[in-house]
Amino acid sequence: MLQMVLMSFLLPALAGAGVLALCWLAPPIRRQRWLASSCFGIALGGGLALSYLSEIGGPSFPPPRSEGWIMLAALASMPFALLLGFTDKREFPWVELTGLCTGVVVGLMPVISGTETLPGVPKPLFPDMGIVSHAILALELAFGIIVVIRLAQVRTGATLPTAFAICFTGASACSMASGWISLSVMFGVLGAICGAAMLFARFSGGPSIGRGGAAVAAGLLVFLSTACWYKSSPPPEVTWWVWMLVAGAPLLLLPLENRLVERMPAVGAYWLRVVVVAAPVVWVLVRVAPTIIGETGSGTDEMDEMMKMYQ
Amino acid sequence: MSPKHYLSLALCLPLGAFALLPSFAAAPVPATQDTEEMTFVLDPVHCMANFRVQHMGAGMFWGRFNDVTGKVVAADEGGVPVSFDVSIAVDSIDTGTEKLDRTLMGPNFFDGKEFKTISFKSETITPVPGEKTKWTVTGDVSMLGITKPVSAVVELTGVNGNSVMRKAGYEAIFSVKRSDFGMSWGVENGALGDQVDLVVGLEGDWSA
Repeated sequence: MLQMVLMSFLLPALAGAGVLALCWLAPPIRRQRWLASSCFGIALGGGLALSYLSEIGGPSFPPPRSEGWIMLAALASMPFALLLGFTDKREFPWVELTGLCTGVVVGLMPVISGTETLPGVPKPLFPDMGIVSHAILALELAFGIIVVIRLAQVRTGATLPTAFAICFTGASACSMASGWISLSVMFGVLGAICGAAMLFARFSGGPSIGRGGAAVAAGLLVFLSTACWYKSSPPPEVTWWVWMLVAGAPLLLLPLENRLVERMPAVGAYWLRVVVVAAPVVWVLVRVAPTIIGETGSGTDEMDEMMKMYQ
Repeated sequence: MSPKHYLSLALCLPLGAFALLPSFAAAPVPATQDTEEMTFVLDPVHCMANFRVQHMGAGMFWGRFNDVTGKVVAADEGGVPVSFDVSIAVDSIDTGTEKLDRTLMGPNFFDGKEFKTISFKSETITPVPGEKTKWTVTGDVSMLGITKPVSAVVELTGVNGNSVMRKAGYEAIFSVKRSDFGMSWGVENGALGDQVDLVVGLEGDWSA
């Protein structure tokens, strides 16, 4: 059990936090703008890949099972974040292109994943996911990435890492309630890395998560939430709109970018933003908590048992 | 022949025929020739696949799949199995706990959304030495997209019926290593055992 916690959660979270500490706190490195701008995305992608490696196994292409695309997405997100780090100063149409290109790649997944078992026959990315759902996912990714990159340009410091820490924690709870233990751990790792970023942002002069970090955080949140919805058997408490509330919560920061909030004291504005993002996620947590702790079911699951046994 | 003989013959024939009646009633009426194969369609209501696995290195917990379909081809009026083709619906898993069902249906275990069935197709059937109603059945189990050979001891639990309808029952007992099928979660840390014991009860229907 201790080995599992160490390998699947602590080690990946510490590795991600280590990357952030190096790039945001170490003076010679933090001056490299492209690195500081992409390290949040690299930390998230790397942490997710390490956690996946420990929980499920190594990468393979094409993956024999659809969750294998999570590992490929994690690995792809690191060079993707690095690439976006170099475009950090460029404006229109780079932000829009980033979102659209990501959406197009995911939108083409029925064709790409068609090489999995039956060459040439389009196969959905996740089970029972039709072409329309793919298109919606592609649009969600494009929209989410564009909005969060724009937010990251104006909102530096701890706000966005805090928002993502809250959302990944909520997603972890939803995954656990849906019976996908491994994904719950992976979401937990991403939440912990965002938590570390939140702390480091306080001590490093409020860096931006950067274009790379914003795109990877928003992309992984939407992609993994979709994976959990299609691959697990969620309880009635975890509906599609519950996932939308969790994965869409960072977008609630957008209407708060107005003059009224700008005029507020920095601390007040920060907490207002945190409360607005946290409110739907806390509501979701309250909703799914009985399922996780076993009040609606008549028993507990493996993770609960192990946690109790080794406490 | 004298009239007396005719009279005694007239009396004896019906009596003799009457005396033969019980023996006609008791004699089995073969539905088919002994060597002819009959296909028994599995009755999902009376079939189930029970499994047990060790939990946390301590107790054995049981679960079952309620939806078992397929067919059994058998000779000797259902008494001698020739082939098994069995399919189990993963979403019929039933541990008595909804939450545990969901976890077992999830990607860490049976991945029921992606792999909706577990199937078994027999390859060879050989009698167990010294046993009249037991066979060693080898075949391929397909689960989670992986096909592996397994060997099971199958026992004929009973055959009943007539020339129009017939039922045959079998019970298979065998073990598999779930990690062989890529279901490895909890094996290394001892949360759940690797060996899964299965007891599969089959009842098939044949009709003319």
